[in-house]
Amino acid sequence: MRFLTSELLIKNGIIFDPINNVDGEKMDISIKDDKIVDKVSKGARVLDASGKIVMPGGVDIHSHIAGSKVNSGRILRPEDHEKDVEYKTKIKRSGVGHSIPSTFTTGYRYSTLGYTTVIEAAAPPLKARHTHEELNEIPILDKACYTLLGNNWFIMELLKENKLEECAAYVSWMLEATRGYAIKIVDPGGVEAWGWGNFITNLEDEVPNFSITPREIVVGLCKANKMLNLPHAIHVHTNNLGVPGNYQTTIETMDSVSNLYSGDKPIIHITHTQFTGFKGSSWLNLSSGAPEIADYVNKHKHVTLDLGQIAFGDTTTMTADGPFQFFLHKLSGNKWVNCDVEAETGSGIVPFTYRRSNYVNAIQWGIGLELALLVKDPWRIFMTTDHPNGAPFTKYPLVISWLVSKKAREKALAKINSSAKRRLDIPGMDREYTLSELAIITRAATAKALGLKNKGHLGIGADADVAIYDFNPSSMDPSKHYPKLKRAFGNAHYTIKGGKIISKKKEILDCVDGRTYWAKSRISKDLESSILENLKDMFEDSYTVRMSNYVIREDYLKIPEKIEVTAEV
Amino acid sequence: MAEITFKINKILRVPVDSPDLNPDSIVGKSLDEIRNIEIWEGNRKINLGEIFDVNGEQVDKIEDLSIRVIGDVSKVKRIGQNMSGGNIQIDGNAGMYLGNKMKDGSIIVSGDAGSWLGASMLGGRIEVKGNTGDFVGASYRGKSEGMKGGMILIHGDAGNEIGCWMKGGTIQIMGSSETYPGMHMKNGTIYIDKNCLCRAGAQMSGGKIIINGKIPEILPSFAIESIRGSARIDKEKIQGPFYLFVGDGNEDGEGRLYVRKEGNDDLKYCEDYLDMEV
Repeated sequence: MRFLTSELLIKNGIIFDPINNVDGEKMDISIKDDKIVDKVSKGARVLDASGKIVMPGGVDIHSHIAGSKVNSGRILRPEDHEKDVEYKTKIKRSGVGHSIPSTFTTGYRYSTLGYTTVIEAAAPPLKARHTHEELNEIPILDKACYTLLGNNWFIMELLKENKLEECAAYVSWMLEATRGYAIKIVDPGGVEAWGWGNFITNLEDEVPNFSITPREIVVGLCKANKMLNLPHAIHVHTNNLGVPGNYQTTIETMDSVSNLYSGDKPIIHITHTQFTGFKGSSWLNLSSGAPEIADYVNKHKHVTLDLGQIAFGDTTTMTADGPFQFFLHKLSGNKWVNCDVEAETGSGIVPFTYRRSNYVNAIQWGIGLELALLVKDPWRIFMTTDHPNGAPFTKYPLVISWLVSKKAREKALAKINSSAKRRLDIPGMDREYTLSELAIITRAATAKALGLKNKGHLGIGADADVAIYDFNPSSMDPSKHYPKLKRAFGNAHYTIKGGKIISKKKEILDCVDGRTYWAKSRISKDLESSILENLKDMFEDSYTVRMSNYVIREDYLKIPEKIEVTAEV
Repeated sequence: MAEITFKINKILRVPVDSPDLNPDSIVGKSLDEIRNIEIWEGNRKINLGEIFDVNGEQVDKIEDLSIRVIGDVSKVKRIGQNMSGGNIQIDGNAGMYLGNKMKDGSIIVSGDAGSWLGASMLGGRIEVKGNTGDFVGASYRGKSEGMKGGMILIHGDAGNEIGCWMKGGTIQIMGSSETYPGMHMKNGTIYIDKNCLCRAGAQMSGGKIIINGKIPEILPSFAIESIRGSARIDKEKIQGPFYLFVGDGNEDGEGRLYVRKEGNDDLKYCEDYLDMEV
């Protein structure tokens, strides 16, 4: 049945909308076209949501869903697709899934979880064209991508010469050229150093040929980010990822920019913190660094974190951190793809299976959950699995069940490596996320951290992205009935994107195209022309492509949406 | 033993994906239920009964069940996938993935079989009277879990990469094989009664390959260890003498490659290395 009016009324749902301070109240939500409005006419289509949770559509702040690295992962792993095939329907295209779903399947599966906005976490600038080609093909979701800048030659050169304004101008040009949304820093300096056979092991190590340290890169880009007024903070994957004892590096990285904080919004985001929260001097005495990190975060307001929680099972790890992937390949003996992106960054891919019985994996599982339970302010910690590094995003409902229910955690604890269990603090942690907190860490806080004003809430004027879950909080306790909650969150009763009903239960009812956000920071004309002059020479010297071929035109994006800000320079 | 027959009633033009034509899915079902099992013909979902005439009677115990497939089913994939008992007899040629991941029971093919015969199988027995395609007892593409147990006997020739990533069990080929038998092999036994085209045991790290015929050359990453009077497949003894090579050195492997001395004059130079002090 098709309705001519594009008005929709969601009746009697139990609303969780933390940005507007709505915590489990019975309310109606009115939608006209693609926005949430005050009220609709009598002819509006009515969706009965009585006894069901209604939340804004989920916003995933860090997920690897598109780009050359994701695609190489697909090519590397035919066995990943064999077990998980999606047949085509009248609306859906066929595809394959599991840890690296094909583009269409990614869109369908995210939307059946109630997610409507997902950010690709690492786009190498030179490969951004490929990233956008895949983002264009991912249906339903609104998307964006972070541009990798932490090992960029020009940035390292400009920062070494202390040309901060030029660096900021270059970042602004880069985001426009790659249609990126934020500054992503991966293993600052470390990927470049590894290209010369060296390892960066702490923030004061010098990057060969550039005589710059990771600390200078992080601080420099953080200053540039502030100058440009970009909507999101710098998005940092710290040095020493996956190395025992790296929790100290994480804290030092957070602390390196603490004096730049001016009190308004967080200025640094540490991503997949689980992988950088290892304490101990070797794999044998590995333990959780989560208490120390959480303690720092609780005392300092300039940081946000996301979890990078692992779930046991088979997945594919992929990051721009080439050296770490090489290390993982040696450790696991699994197949490996490596790539050096000229003058910019690198990347690697290794399939990996997290095992309950494995001491290190069990500790990793604990670190993620401890972080979630120990960081007091839910507005500064976000739920991710660093898809697909910790687990595919389809495991989100499982992670949710661990957060809301001590009983669910105890059940998982009973099966993990027993010496790991003894070393974790989880058994003594009683905190259980409320549904409102859950809405914060999965949509409200992430939308806020990304500076997406129309996302993550259900206030008037917000985008009509709504998720309805079949779980009645007035008659059921999430903590006790966690299997029911897990099912509900794995299988949104309705997902509404841009005012259209996209999915009901697992079935996709409609398929729309989502926007791609990119950030434009307007800098002064003088600065812009001076940096463009320099850039041409740099491109001639360092790149295999011409500068004019490097820039992605805005019309290359299917539905571009520019977020424009004014820079201070 | 009760028999259910599946007689193919049309000439298949496109591949048919039929993972449920196996004893586990058929046991305890009435003939009508069996005819209604869904399979894919190309991109079309059809019922088993649309391409097969199904006859026989309901069987409730898997041990008693014998499936007889009559006609050319070389376009039908995944017959006997995941089967855990009973037996399948195919009077004709079989398609790809026959006995894929099978756990127990037996399959006999009177004609030829396609590629991926007994891929990733865990146990049971497969016998093929004719020839087979590539990847007999191999892992799925990209995976490192090949055949782990059971026995595959092929009376004719086999194709490339048989026993790829094999971890156990036995493959016996009474004819010849093409390139790369036992690639990435970890354990188990491959016996080739006639010739092997080349590159036996590339990247193997364990297990045993016996080539009873001719092979033009041995990979340079294999080292000759000795000349043995005989070689064994399980309990059966094969009279030699055989050159015994150990490799693959690129993987620090301890795989054992037996090659019949007689008829392999091109390998005679290896004997010079036997007495050399290293």
